[in-house]
Amino acid sequence: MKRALWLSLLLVIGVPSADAHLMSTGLGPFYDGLTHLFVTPEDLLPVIALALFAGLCGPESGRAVLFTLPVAWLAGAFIGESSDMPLTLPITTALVTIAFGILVAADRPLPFRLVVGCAVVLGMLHGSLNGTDLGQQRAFGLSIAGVAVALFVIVSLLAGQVASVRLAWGRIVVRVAGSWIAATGLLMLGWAVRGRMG
Amino acid sequence: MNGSRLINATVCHVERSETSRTIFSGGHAGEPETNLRFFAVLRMTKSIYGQSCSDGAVRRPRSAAPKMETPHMGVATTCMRLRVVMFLLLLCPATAFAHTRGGEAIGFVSGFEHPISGWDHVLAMMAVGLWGAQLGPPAVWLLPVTFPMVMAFGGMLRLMGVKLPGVEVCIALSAIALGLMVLREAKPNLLAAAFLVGFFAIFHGHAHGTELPAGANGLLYSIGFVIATGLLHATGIAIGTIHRWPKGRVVLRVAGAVVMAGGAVFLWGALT
Repeated sequence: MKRALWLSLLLVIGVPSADAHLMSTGLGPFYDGLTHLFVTPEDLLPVIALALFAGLCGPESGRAVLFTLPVAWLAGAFIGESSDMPLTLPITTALVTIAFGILVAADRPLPFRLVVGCAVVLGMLHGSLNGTDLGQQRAFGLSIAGVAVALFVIVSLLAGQVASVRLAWGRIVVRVAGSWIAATGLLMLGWAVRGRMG
Repeated sequence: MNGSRLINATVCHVERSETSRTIFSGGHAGEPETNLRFFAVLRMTKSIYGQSCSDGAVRRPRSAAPKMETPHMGVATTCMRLRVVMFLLLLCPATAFAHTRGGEAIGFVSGFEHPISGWDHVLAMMAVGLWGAQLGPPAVWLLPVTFPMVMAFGGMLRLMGVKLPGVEVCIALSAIALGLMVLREAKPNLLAAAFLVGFFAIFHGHAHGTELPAGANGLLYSIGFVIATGLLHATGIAIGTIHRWPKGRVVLRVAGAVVMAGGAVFLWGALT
């Protein structure tokens, strides 16, 4: 039992190297960073889930996440940049996606501080992964600034829309979206474990 | 009328031209099929209207001319529309698929197509939506929320190498059971309904959630798969809204019987 627990822990925190790189838009590093989030579903899905959840928790939480998430992401990216080797944490990111998806599907608002804490954790985790991944790119600062702007736009649009929903079926639609994100996260986890097992 | 003559003249001219002979004798790679299709449409147009181009002149068949001049203008309008459709068909180029699709687009598209392309999956998904509509809130949204999540759990088990017995049989049974629920307008308590749906969802996920084409992106495949499944539920719910009318209830029950029959066919296939 103890051995199985250790094995599970190793699988979760195992750090395989990443082979991803920034998509080139031809418009410069800022726009490369801006589009990076939209073409990286591993990053995008938990962000969407968190934005929806913040909206469900109310305008105050939505506003807090709007500023906390990009800042935490930037901080994580600059921490990750110092790493020499690009890293990915597929199992951890899948678990985070599942967790946020379930939070949205359950529609059980958390206290304000916990929501902000979720944004900090998500931002630091994915930001540091982005930092290790994109740190080798030229004009890293501009690229990651583009990512932060994309985050700001996504959170402001989604959290703002969800926070203003008054109709019951509107919340149900959001919850269904959360269940889809959680379902995708479960399959992400399956793919990650399968990849680890070879 | 002038327009149709123009088309006919074009047909005759093109068919007799040097270009067509070159094409039929083999032009660029990939073109002959397109051009054969092009001329097949032209020939079909001519066969409909009985026109001949052997002498290069634009002639109207004896049988067709009076029809156009009869008081039955509805027929004439239909003919004209047909000609317009045929002409539009001529303008549609056949696209070439010289390259194999790969990477991320194929991942999402394959995942999206997969639930829609398998009738066993379609029937069960639609039945979940229909049953949810019959049960009303909160089941109408709770069942479609339950299904994709548990289905994904089944897919995850498969990806992790966990095997389940009798997957195909259980998928067929799911259509039978859910069709029976719709047919009988069964209204168990919410937990029992969610359990029934969730139980079968595991097998659907296990069977279908992991059939990833080579070179495709697993995550995008999963996203497409989940979205398509959810949209099938939504379609079932949308159809199920007819439940509010007495005749609609009957239609829904008939739909349940159809789902059951489909499930029986799949069960027969799985057992034999």
